[in-house]
Amino acid sequence: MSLFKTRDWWSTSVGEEEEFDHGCLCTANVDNDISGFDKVIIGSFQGILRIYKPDPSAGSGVEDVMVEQAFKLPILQVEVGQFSSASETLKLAVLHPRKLAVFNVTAISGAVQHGSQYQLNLLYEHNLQRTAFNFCYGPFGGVKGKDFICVQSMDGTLSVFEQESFAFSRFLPGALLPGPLQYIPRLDMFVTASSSWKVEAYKYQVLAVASDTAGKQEAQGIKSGKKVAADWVYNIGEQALDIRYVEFPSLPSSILVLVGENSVNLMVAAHTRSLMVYQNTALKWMAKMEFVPVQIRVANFNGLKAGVVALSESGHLEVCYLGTDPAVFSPPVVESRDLNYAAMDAEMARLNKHIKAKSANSVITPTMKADDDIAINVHVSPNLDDVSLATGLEFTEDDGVPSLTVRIQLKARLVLEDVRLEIHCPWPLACNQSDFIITHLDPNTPSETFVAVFQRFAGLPAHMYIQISATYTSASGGRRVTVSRASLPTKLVIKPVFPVKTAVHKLTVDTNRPPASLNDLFPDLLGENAGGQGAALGFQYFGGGPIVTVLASKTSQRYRLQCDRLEAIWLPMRELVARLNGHFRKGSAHSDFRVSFDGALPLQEYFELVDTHFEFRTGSDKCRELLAQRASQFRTIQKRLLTRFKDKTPAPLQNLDTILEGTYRQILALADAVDENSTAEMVSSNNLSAGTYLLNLLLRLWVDMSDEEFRVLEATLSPVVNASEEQGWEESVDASITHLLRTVMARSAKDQSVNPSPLTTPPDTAKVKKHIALFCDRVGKGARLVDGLKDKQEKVIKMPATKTIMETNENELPEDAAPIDQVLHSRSRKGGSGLGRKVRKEGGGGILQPLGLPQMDKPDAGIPDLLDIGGSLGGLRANLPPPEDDESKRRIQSLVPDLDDMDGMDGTDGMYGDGEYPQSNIERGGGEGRRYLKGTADNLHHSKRGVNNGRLYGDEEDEEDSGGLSALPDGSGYGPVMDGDGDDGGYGREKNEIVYAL
Amino acid sequence: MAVDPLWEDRDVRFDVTSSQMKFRPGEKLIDQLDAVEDTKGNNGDRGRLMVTNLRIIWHSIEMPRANLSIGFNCVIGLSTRTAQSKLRGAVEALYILCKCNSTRFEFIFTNLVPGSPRLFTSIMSVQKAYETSKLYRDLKLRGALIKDKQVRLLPQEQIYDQVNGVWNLSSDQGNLGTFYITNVRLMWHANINESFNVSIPYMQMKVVKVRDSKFGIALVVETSAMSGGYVLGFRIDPLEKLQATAKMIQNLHKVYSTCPIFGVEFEVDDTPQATEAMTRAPIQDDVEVEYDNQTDAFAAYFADGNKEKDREPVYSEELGLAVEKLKEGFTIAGLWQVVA
Repeated sequence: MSLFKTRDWWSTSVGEEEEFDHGCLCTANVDNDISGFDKVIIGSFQGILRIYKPDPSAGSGVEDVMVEQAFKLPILQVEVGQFSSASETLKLAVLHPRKLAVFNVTAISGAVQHGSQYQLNLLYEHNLQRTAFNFCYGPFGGVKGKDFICVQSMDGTLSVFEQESFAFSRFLPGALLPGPLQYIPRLDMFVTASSSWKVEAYKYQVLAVASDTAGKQEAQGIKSGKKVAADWVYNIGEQALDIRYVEFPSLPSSILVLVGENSVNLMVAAHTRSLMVYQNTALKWMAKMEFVPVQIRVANFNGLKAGVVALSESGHLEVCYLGTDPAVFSPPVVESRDLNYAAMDAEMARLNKHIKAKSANSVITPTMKADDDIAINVHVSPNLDDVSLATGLEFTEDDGVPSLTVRIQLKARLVLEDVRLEIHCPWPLACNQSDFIITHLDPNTPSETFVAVFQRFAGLPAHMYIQISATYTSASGGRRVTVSRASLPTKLVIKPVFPVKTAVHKLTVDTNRPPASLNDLFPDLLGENAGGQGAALGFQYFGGGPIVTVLASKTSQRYRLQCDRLEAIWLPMRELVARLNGHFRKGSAHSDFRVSFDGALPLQEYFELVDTHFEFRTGSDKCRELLAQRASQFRTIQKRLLTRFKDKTPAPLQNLDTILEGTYRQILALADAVDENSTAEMVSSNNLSAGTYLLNLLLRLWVDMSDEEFRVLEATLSPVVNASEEQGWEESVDASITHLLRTVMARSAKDQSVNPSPLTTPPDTAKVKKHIALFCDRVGKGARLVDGLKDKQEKVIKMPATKTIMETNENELPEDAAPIDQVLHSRSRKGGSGLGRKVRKEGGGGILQPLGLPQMDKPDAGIPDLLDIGGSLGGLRANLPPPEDDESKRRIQSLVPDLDDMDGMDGTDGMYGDGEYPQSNIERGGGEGRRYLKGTADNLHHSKRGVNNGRLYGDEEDEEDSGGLSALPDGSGYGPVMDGDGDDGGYGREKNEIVYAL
Repeated sequence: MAVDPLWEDRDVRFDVTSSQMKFRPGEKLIDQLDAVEDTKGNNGDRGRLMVTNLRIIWHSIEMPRANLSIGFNCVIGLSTRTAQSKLRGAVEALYILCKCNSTRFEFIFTNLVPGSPRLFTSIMSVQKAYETSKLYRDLKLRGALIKDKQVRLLPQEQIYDQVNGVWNLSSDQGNLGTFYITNVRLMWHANINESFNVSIPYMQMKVVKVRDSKFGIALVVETSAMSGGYVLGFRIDPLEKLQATAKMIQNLHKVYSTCPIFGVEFEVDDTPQATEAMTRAPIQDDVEVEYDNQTDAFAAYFADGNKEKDREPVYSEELGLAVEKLKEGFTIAGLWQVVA
């Protein structure tokens, strides 16, 4: 984009639907007028020759045409030179494909301007035997006062005409396509640019004498000739458009025109409509043209010295000069246009009204279009399915698990193809099919999908919402998602059982109305309690979950929920509060009925959930770290082994194979551990989520929080616990609570110092627990979560003592805390919901569980037990001493023996005693490995494993065989053995399983 | 029968009166688009654009007095580029560059119907048809009338008569030539030099009469001022033949100057246009308000800022080319360094 433009001096549109290209334009004083001004000569491919005398002062432009003559043949090129032997005046040469004609242009002036006539007289013409491409002219051979013509044909043949007579034809070597051609008088040579992107120069003399036989008559139609040698060749690596001779070496470029005399000024026109003027190599000026020219020339006219003549492909001819006003356009103010003030006022009023209406709704930000292309209607059946559709259960339930049918209706505004419908159920719920593709959705016939939702896994749900999303391609081509949510009834996950009298956790809510019968409140969850007085109901989660008992006081207006696990209370509590509200507020919108909570907040128990969750989080990190470590160790050993095997002179393996096998085992075990841990982490997250929901609800009831405040609370103490490696629940909740404490809940200016802690995994949960406790304390003292509300009266705080909030709480559990059902359903509990709390109940064994190791790996599966060396295998399982925090770390580390400790394997027990074991190994181990087995086997004897009988070996062998571990001697248990601390039989999980069975 | 001289295709006019909005005889509506924005001068206004065989007319729907009439003869460039429309945002628009009496104007039109190329196709094809039919409308001297000893006729042209032995009186000795009288124009060419010829469409003739001259009784054709105001004299012997020829030319002039053949050929694809053409005129009062002050609406359309005319060219030693005369105190190098 240029700042300057060319200024149009004179222009015309040449011809009607005619085509022009390079060569069609020439400027010269072709009629030899005494004024010496140039004329513009143009020949078109349609064969019309025109000569213009540009004169903008004439007005109508009628007289600018001097000659317009139609030829039968297309015109390829026009040039003006001294082509006549009779006179030295300028003549016009016109090149047709098969003809070269030279004309004399004469003017016969009339009495009036329009009476002048111009005549084209043919002087001579040459018929060409080859189809011509272009020609050049000049005083070839240094002839004076004459111009000869050299025509280049399409096959690269040069034919020289010395005016009226033909001179000779020559082939250019290696010509494929003809290029621009120029004659250089000073050197008497032709310069052309060949299709091989080289500039080639040929001496005229060389061409002239290169005839085959001196005496033979030269003819145009020659078929063969001597190969002429180029004087010089220069590779330009580009296709040349034009070559111009300017007293300097030829310069190929786009389109070059000589404009100056002293220094070389070049004018280049580009396809971007730019006309650039260079002085040597520096850009001196640039102007924007009206069109893309095919050829430009500089010419002098009456009133315009050195004007630029440009011709476009379609015949736009323009004589222009360079404008010097920068084109900075600013639209001027137009005054004469009447302004319709009435209409403008009306529009202003309309817009103002619109803005007002919008701002009244406090919707300043643009709202998303409410009418999505798809509307999702979800209808949750109020009754459970008659015949349960639950499948793929991962736990057992005597009476089966109920299912519930959800009807999803999709309504489209327009025809949509391939709508993807996805149903997401919160763990442990699942549905029988979670995604559907609806290939065609018609606006007239909404699609209906039925999905059965049921509990598939053993665990406590955190909430009862299912999410339904429809993904589709909108009419505008964008991918759109419409999401809907539906609430499921609680009875999908709990069943009525007999109430249990004692429980660990008890939460009591108050109301301000006489107590209602529980039979009235839970008519659908009575079960066998139906005949009772309605004072006590029991609910149990499916899959042998905890039992929650609801008690209604006969005398006071209180209701109590009790359960052995805090998080299990959440759903019944929510249900109870909702049903109480529904029961007492029936029909009246402004009832003063209130549910409140007056007891102590179960912070301690809640913190246990936090701790458990945190423990799994850190556990997974540790596992991964170890896994990475082992993997790199594995690779290192592999590398070493490889170098040894490749070595031409075999060196002893030095037990590297043993270490490799051991590491392999460890990696497998660790991978399982990671897997297991992540499941456990998910379960603990879910429990924490449920616990947080409960705590939030209690907080709300405690201080009678408004909806707005509750929203802030839910956003701060978020019940959404996502598993994320980057940012966990603890730090994000800590950050948001800290923020609240420092802003709306700040007591003094000192508190307000904002110093946010980085969002990284904290070393422990002390900080977040402290902040939550402080937060609850402040809330209880009447602090508001939203600015501008007046403080409430201080609540009577019944909080646990601060010291317990501060740190460890592990020993605080009541001794009798372990409920029977936990023991009974240990499998599901261990793998799932029960994990978190059971950790502590089981004492020492619990430490392993955060690692999520598979059961079979637990106490003795190759994991050295530092504390129980001499004990029996049975003893290992039970009564491990109380755990310590750092033992878990040690445990994990000990999964993988330190390689330095390999020596430690010598000596000790010698209980092995089973000579057959090495034997069998040797038999299996092939070739290379065998040599070293002796020593290895000896070491193996130290293992306590010797207490096992031969049967173990048999089993082990089977496994080995199927596992395909060949060359290495019995690898399965080596890792643990290498531990060297004299552990109890590191022969892998397989054997230990069997030990259990025994 | 006085008909205004043809201005429709060779002028750009702004805020014209309703009488000027009316089509002249022979002017035909080719296309009409009812939702076009004049993005340059009336951005934000919905308007109607009409394409005739002579010009482009645009007027605002709300305020018909805000209008434009762009003759095709003034159009020197058509292109499509992106423009900022108040009604549609950044949108592909039609740029029309015009030159009228050495003033350059630029017009930008935006079709408010998204995705319709009709605006571009209509105007571009009519402009092409107009460009290639200039001989129907313009006086031409020394043109290529003859090819292979045959008169090159226009597509809609028919020869009514050919008159030999016609002397052109533009030079002292006179030139013997031939008349060709057609339904579009009168042509003459010299017998000895085919390239000496003239072609005069009837619509460019002002007067055709027989009068005395220094060469004796002659047929005199005066052309309109627009085409140079030439007075062309022809002698035909005998006098009866001269008068018969003059009569014929006068009659044809009368017929074809009132209802000329403009030569812009077009085909309209859909016929509903015909009914639209009947109702095309905007509803306007009969009373025309005369405004004494000249409208300055044109200022908004200048192609090069607020500049009506280019300054005259001078030779620049520095560039070796003709440049626009610099303003006081400026130099070529100085101007270029500001840019570079």
